[in-house]
Amino acid sequence: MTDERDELLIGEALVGEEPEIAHIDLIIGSKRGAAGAAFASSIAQPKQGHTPILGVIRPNLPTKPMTLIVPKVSIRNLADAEKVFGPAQSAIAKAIADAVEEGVIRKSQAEEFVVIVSVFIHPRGKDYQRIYRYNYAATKLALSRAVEKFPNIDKVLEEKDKSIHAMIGFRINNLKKPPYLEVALDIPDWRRVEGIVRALPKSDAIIIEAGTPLIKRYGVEVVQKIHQLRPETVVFADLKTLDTGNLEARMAGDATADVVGFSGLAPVSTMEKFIEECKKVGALSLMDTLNVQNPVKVLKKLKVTPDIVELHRAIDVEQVKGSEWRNIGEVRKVCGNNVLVAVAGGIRVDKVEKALKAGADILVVGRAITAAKDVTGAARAFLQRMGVEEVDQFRVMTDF
Amino acid sequence: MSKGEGEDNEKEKVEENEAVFHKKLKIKLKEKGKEGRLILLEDYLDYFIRGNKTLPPDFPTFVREIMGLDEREGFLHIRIWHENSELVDFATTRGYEYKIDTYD
Repeated sequence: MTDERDELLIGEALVGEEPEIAHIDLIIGSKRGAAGAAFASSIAQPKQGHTPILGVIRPNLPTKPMTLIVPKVSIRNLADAEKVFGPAQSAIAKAIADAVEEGVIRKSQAEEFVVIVSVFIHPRGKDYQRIYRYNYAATKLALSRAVEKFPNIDKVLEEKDKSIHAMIGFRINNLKKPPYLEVALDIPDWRRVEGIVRALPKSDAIIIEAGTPLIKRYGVEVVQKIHQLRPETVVFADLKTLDTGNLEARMAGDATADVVGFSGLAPVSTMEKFIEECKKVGALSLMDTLNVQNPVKVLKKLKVTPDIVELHRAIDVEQVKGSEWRNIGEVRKVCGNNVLVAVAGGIRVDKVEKALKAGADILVVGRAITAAKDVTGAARAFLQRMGVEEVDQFRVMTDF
Repeated sequence: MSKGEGEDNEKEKVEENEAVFHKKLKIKLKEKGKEGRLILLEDYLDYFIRGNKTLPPDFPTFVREIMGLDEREGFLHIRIWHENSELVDFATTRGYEYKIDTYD
């Protein structure tokens, strides 16, 4: 462990099962640094319901380094207090002393350092055995993580788009790992749409598009209903906005859309306001190029470029040999190579490889999946041809 | 033009016609007639509100549909596209007698 007196080490750990689940945040550092100042300040200024106490091995025997335990959840009654001041504080004090014995903290640092442990005890937690064991394990884990400065930034960047929060059950998918299969739901019949949504395979690689006809029939709130059925899946609200860019982007964002689409035929100011509003509401913006003669020319006019450009082929263009998606490279270039390119129109399983080879990141498929007798099988056929692993969204993080 | 359309529109139209594969949820009303339908709709609304679920976007249409459907030996026949649809969950959790059939 470092001898730097001004260094402040921070660790966190979550251990166990509800309701006794233990969540520990802790800081450790020199008495003469920020940790010491925080320690003295906290013990001198107790707050109602969050009174800090010293961790003791047994009455009249505080652990070393000196450890201050601060409850995260307001203590409202004697039962709450007993859990924190009984099994939780006892487990934390023991874990700190054991860390010294095991060399995580050097004996020579036992006097120099202080520890502040913020402890979470759920009011419904009743099993003292579990409270003790979980908090002991969580404190030791948080302490060793603090000393090791876990996680390093590379770990954070690697995991940020994979992990699922234990209490939320899903994560935000920022579409960082193409290719994706966008299933376009243009059917204005909710019960049929519900059936398709339920039948689609569980995969991070699937985007569900609330198509324009669906939204026109039921309103943009349909996005929220799709998210209720599949909270982990990216939902694209295909508004094809032509006017009032910021207003429509906000409406879709409020309805929990992950991606919101505008038309490339809209006035430049509308497109720019739309893109800016998407950034404000945390959604990705998508430009639909249906009937846009020269998408690259339009993109060049924009001060801010969309996150996704959808090359939506018209039938006349489809009939010209060799014209399929040939300007993907130009689109990327004008967007500073910071864009996903989606291709829509006539995508079938046998065209998947060609589209991907042309540089497409997102393949938009409609009735080839939604009108199939076996929706699940049809979607799987696309995913397999795309070389996408079918299920990885429920990966449980147990590797540290 | 919708997203799935392309050069093989005719072929896809045929496939779509073939793909009308919806099922039939046969749900028994707790009382006969209009009163039974109103009870079912109240129960359905209650199921969403108490379960903190978003209302299905077709709820207004559904209300009209339920009030207009023929009653067959105490059962209403409602189209669904998945055996785990919300309507089936509702029928199960709220103790309605029901069965699921493929469409005639």
